[in-house]
Amino acid sequence: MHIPDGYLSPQTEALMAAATAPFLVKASRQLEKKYNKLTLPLVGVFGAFSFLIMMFNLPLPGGTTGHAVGTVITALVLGPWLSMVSVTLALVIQAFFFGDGGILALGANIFNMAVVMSIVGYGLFLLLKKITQRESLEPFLAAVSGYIAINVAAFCAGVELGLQPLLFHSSNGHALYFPYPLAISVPAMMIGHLALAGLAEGFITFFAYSWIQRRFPKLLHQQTAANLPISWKPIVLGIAVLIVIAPIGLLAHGTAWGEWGRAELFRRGLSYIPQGFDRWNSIWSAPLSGYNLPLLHNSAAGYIVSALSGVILILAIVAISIFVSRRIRKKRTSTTST
Amino acid sequence: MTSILDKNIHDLVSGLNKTMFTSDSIGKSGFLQRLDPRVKMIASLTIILMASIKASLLYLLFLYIICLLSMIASYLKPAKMFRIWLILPFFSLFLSVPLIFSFVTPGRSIVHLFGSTSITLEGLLLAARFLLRIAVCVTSVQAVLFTSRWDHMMKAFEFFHIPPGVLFVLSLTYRYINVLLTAALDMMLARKSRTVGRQSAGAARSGVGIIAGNLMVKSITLSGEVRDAMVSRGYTGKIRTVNNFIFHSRDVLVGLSLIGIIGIGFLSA
Amino acid sequence: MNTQKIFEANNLSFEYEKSHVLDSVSFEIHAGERIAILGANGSGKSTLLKLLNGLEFPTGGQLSFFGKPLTASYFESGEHEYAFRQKVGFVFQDPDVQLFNQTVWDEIIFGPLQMNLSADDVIKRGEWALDVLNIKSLRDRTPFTLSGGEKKRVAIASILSMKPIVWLMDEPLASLDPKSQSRLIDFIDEAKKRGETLIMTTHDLSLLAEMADRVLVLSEDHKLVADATVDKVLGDTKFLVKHNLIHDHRHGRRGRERRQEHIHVGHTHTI
Repeated sequence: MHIPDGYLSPQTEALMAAATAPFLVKASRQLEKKYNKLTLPLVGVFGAFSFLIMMFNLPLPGGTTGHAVGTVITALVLGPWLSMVSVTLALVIQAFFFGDGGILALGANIFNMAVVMSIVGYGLFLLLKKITQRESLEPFLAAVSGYIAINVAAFCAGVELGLQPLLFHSSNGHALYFPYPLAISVPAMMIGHLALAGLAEGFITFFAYSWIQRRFPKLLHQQTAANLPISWKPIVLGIAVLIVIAPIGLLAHGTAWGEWGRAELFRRGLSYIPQGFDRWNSIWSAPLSGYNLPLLHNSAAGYIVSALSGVILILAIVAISIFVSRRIRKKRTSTTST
Repeated sequence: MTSILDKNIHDLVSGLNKTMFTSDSIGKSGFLQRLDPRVKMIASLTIILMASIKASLLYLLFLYIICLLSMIASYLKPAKMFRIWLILPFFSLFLSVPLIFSFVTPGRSIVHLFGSTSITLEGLLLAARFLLRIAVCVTSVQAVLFTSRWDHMMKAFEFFHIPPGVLFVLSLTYRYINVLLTAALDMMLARKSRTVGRQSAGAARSGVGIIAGNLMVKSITLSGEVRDAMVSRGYTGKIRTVNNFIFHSRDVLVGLSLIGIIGIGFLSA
Repeated sequence: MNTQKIFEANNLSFEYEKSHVLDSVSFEIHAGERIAILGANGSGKSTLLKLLNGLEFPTGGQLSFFGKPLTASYFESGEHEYAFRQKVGFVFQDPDVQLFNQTVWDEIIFGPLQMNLSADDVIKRGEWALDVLNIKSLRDRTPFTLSGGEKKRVAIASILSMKPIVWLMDEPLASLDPKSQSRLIDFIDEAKKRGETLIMTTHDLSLLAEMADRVLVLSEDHKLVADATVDKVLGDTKFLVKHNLIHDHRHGRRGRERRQEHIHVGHTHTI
């Protein structure tokens, strides 16, 4: 899922970095404030763990690579905020010291694998735990959360990649960055993660969870027994940044970067219509296909709609988790108190 | 089958340990090795940024040649350069193959294949730009990686005003990757020595699971010990260092030529 | 006893998850002593060192350092923490845990840097520690590429540069080759000559006489069962067998039947 440099346009990269920033700011504050300085090593060690897990990767067709991330088990032990820090550390080391994943693309990679996965995995686990109320099932629930969270992250990566040819192309329609549209990038990312990497993440989460449950039960309950410590401020802020900056990036695409099409070598190209892509769109019969085709002609609207739909999807998962878990908790406390 | 998998994982882990944690992979003292790490990092970032915002094939080629020349001037072994050049963008190469055909990129036909399928000029140019841009980005990062000690790079981060606390955890994380890699290798060897004959795929998989679980436990116990070791030596959350980088004239020269590279980029449009 | 009292433990206890790790231990440690804490695995030796280093705090009884009780609130004062860390150095059993810096040099100046010394002083102390342990050639190496013995020396140098007056060493001789062991014993002698106090844990008796003058023995039920000279402890085979410090097939059972009859010392005896 590591997106290398050159796959995303600089505008997308800047946007993703801006959307990730409030989460990381909040996470690092959490690291300083709520958890004392002594938590630092624990965060570092989990970062190292996540790094190792990510090294076992296989290439996936149409996307980048598939591998487990270890974010969800980290989130279950350290909580979602510190887990963002841990996985971010691992990603930074991979980008700067190992050349895995782009440096400019770090914002997007952190967003997908650290931010989205931490929040989705953690929220989902709490929800499932509240529903089932059985400690013996917890490792299994952790595995399910891991499986789903990594697939949501892969979906985000697929959307980020698939938007590139829609938004950033020369005047004759040639893709400037990642060349395949949503119709190809999303299913390609999803197939690999649904079939392989998701299972790996689920497997690792399951194993690690049951192991910790046996050896260090205290660690798990610190984070998952209490209330959901998800604060809405950075989430709202991150989304606001996404929504506000998206059109700015697109305007810039129309003006400042307009020289793309004038590149001498491309002048010879005839008026290019991505017919091939149009045809391939039919392969992807999920809801997205409905508005995929018109979007090709109105990239600005397409971008915002797609970005929003992604954001809403993630938000919806988190919101539903929180809502349902609160309901259940209320019911439970009211029944136990009476 | 499983033994091949085992061997691959073992090679991967030990190779990783070697490349990440020994300084002998940096090689002879050449152009890039002598450069200040801060300058190298700025140069690499500039090249990636320029490659990302410029679409001209000629300019991308120009950046690529700069990267290759500086690697040659750093005496990097041809085999290593080949690996950087080919293996890493290999997947991108695979991705770009369909682009050259008329069914994906319609346009002026160059080589007619069969039916209505042909290789198009537009397709070739599209694939070339995609590949070249990735090659430039990957090469410029790898050139820095292969010629810098990681502690120097970590110190260079300090110069960019990354908060010291963040750097401290970053260096800890890097450090623990080594401890965990070594632990993983030990566990694999221990398991191997206890395995007689062929192993079923299921057993191999659960073996990997046990290793992952053990790594997790090791992670947790380790972090407590490390915390103690740090506190014991007076660590209170602040990181203090004695910095000792000095700019040389060659660093200034590289800085100036970077401005040139940016200039050419914007003029060539 | 004329020398200064450094540590004093009164019925010191430590519990972890409701079970005793140390049970009512009392002793005194004076400046310039070389003390070995002896005990089988799991007897609470390492925990005792951590208590002495202020990394854990007593859950019962009292432990004081120069007359002041070591508690969490003692360390809340930055000044106390600062003074304490400067005076008491801890060499961990596993150097991998202790060495987390990028180069040997960074490792050695880490402690002095935390002490707000001037850059010159930091460098001077670093050079001195490199010199004392004879590891100048390792200066720019990455700690984790070193051999076990080299790592141990770097770990010791990284504490030496802080110039502690008390050394706590957890199993200092464990997993070292004979040459490194004899080097370490030389180092312990030199530290004693400088007037420093050394407190070491061990479960290995072979070099006990060379590294320590006095022995504290912890039993497997986490009590202090002896506080005596090395000769006295080493001379009593039955006692050693009983506390699982040596393994003796012939005397094992009989030793067990005659409990309480050997150098039983419930409370502190200073030499």
